[in-house]
Amino acid sequence: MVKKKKVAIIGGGCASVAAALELTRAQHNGEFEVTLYQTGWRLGGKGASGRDAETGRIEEHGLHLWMGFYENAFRMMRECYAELDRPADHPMRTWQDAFVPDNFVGVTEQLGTNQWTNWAAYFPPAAGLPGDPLSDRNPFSVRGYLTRCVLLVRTLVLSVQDNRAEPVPGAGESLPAAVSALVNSLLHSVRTDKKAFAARTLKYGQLAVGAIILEAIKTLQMAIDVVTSRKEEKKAASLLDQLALVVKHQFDLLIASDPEVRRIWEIVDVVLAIIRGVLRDGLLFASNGFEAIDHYDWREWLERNGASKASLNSGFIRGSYDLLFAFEDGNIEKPSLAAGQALRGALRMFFTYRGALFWKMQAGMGDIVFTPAYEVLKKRGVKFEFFHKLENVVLSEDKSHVAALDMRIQAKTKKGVDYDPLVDVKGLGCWPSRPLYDQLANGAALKKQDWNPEAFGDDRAVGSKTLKVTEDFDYVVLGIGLGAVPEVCSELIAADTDWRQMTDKVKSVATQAFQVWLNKPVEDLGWDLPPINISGYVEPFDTWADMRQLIHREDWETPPQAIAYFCSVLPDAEVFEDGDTSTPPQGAHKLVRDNAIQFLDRDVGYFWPKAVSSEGFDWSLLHASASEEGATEGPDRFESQFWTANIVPTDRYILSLPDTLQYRISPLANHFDNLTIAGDWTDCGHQAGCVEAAVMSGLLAASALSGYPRLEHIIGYDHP
Amino acid sequence: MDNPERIKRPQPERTKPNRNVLGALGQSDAMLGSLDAAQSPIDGGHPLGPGFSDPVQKSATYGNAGSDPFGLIDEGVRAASDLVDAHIRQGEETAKSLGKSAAGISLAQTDVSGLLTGLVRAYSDVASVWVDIVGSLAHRIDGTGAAKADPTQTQGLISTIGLSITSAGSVETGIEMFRPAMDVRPQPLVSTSVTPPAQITDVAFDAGQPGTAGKIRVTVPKGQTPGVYHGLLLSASDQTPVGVLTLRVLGQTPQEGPA
Repeated sequence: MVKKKKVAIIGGGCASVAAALELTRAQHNGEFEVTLYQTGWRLGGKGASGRDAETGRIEEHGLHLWMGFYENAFRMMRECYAELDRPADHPMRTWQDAFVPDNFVGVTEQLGTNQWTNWAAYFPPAAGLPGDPLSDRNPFSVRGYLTRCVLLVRTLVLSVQDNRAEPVPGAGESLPAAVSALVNSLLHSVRTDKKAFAARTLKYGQLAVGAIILEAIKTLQMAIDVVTSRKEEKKAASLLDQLALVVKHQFDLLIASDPEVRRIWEIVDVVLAIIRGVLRDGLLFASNGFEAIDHYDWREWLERNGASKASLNSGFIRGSYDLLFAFEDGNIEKPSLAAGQALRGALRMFFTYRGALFWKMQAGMGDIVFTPAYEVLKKRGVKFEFFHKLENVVLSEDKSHVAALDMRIQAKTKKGVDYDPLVDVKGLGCWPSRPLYDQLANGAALKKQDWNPEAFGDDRAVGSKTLKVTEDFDYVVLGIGLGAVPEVCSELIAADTDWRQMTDKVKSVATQAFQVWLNKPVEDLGWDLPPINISGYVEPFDTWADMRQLIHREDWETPPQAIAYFCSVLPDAEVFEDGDTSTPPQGAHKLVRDNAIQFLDRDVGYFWPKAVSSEGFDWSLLHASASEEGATEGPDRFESQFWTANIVPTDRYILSLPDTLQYRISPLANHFDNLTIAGDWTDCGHQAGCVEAAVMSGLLAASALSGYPRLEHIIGYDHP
Repeated sequence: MDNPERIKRPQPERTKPNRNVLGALGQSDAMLGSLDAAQSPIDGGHPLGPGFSDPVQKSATYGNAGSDPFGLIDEGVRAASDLVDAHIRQGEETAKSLGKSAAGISLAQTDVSGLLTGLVRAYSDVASVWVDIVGSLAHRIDGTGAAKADPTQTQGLISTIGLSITSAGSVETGIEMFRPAMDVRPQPLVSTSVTPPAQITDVAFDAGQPGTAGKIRVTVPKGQTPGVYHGLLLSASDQTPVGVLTLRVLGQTPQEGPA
């Protein structure tokens, strides 16, 4: 009988779960015996969510949206739901019950001092579904991306409304001027078509502009096929420069009087800058693909390639920083995002999505992702050790491998039975927002003190355990957040230069979030666009997501009429003294509460004008549970809502700062011969803080230990 | 001293993603094909291969064209997308032929003006068809049904044009009509293949007698810089392009008389 290989997976976030699912596939014939060690009471890491005991309301770490290009993550979840084969009356029977397409993306744009406008861009459904096998063609070629530049422009055209512009026909002396005349004539013809709808006529003109972009790409493709040297690439770029000038001339005439056309122009401008930059920087032939420009900031690189200041400050570009919390040290004055990864992310987001640009989870992320994953893994025989916190990774004397793992046991169950972590909320297995104290030894006291084993600095210990190599594990998958690595991996960092550089150079950021439940629909509060996820607004909360789809998943006695999530970075300087993010700070929770109250009082009126008066926010709009109703008034009523300061090292969001990505270590890299790592902070191919990166990393970790999945089956790993 | 029972990680085939030109220009079809193979990951097939079957989900579609006007627009865009794809393929074919004929020749040595003239023509095609497609959809949204061609509208349309050149030197010419037009307004001929850019401004259209083909008259000034010149032919009624006139001024010994 072949001896099973014992794998200790430390941490229960997306990466760890992905690794566990891969290592326990039936095809491995039970080769791996997996035990997952988890701090506290729930899986999920930064994606963990909880249910309030009284109302069943969902409480998240922040806003989680799945994008239509999360191929590996969707594939994983589809497999989980298929394997569970839940009964027909289950509220989340299939993955498509759990994830619903969302075709709108919103950005808030600043028109002037304290003047803002919203833009809800509609992205049409794309062919296929995320996680479908790829069969037609590789979506990750630069050529394919350039073709899709046109698709982006076209789909954006659909979101553009009325206009009034009447550009002066231009004539010229050069070939670009002839192109200019062509564009002008097309615009002129549609404007003089009295029979057409006013709203549609400009679209025709803009479609013509889309055609110009198409031809820019066609020209580019010719150039790509003909040229063989960077010198010639630059010549091709000069053709694009000419086209860009033509397009810009046309749009300069239009945008002066039409902000909606300006948005189109800004996208066109950025798209052209991307094409130009790809050529100028030799990205087509760079051995390291887009990594060749990772030393630039995204905006810096676009500007270097001709994007206008206005485009660089457009809602879409600002929104890309907001969505990735891309602010060094959480300082909004220091936006910073590695250009290569930003380009990779943007191209994948806009050009390779399937089904919809966004997919919204229909319950908490814990309920939708980690419950089915847990149930599948449990069925497959994975052992879960909750309330186990890793304290130290011990190296062998020769520093070649992990010899032991020191664990602190935070709590023990009554009578030594396994902890059963889920609660039922309207037929759905959910993770509670606090441990299920009644299963724990000394549970009544822990409940009374509202003990939170995830809290920063919690040091409760009811015992310790040292896991030893060959006895308790053969392999280790370190799947904790990067923020905790310096503390628990000091021996590895001391022994290995790459580990030292990684922990020095790769940065993370704290985040803040709050959720409000309202007793009126947002439409009654003055919101007149579709349900939306919108970024680019003012700090301290730049992003708002309408989460009304969750109302019927919660378990209120009297349901709310609206649910809204807000989130943003949390500046380290406002929380930590002397930049020391490893020491528990004071007052972070209160700071986020104050920020939220200030935001509702001062800023939310832009989204919900009827929710505020000259005296500020109407606090009676906040929906409270039966036990809290009437207990508080005014801003104190906010106490009934939910907010969080994500400052625990493992909760910090991983940043993709310029000139840092090269310091990430791959799960495949063999620095210690029985250890691999997993998390969105690793060199996983998609170097951004997101579910997809975490899952890819987990797949790589599994591949490092078992040889499977094969690297070419990790979608998007081999990406420029 | 190492524990003999201890298991070490297998050596990975590589530790970095393949981001080089193979990745940039697309992985091999064979590799992509293997993604669909009904094999287990152990066998090297797609991880979702065996046992992963969800035909209901896979057949799900969105954007029902018949359900709302927005869906119609969506379908219009998709139709246009097909057209765009056709153009891309056409461009690729052109590029291939260009590559064959220009093997070893840099882009700078190819006829940039010709390339761009083709470019102008191509996006005129794309844009006009595009407008037609979406315009038809607009009619459908209006409830007026798809626009139908009126056979009477073809009467009097110009589909062929004659050419009269007056030049002190040798020239080569050509006219390409994109579509018929009621009236034609030629634009000055310009060239960016010469330095500094040059133009030929004496270009006019003579409609001629009813029932006869119209004619474009071009006068090439003496001493005109050799090079390729081109000019759009616009519809006089709506200023949309209906064709392009290309004229190559050669650098040989001057000859008298019209070409």
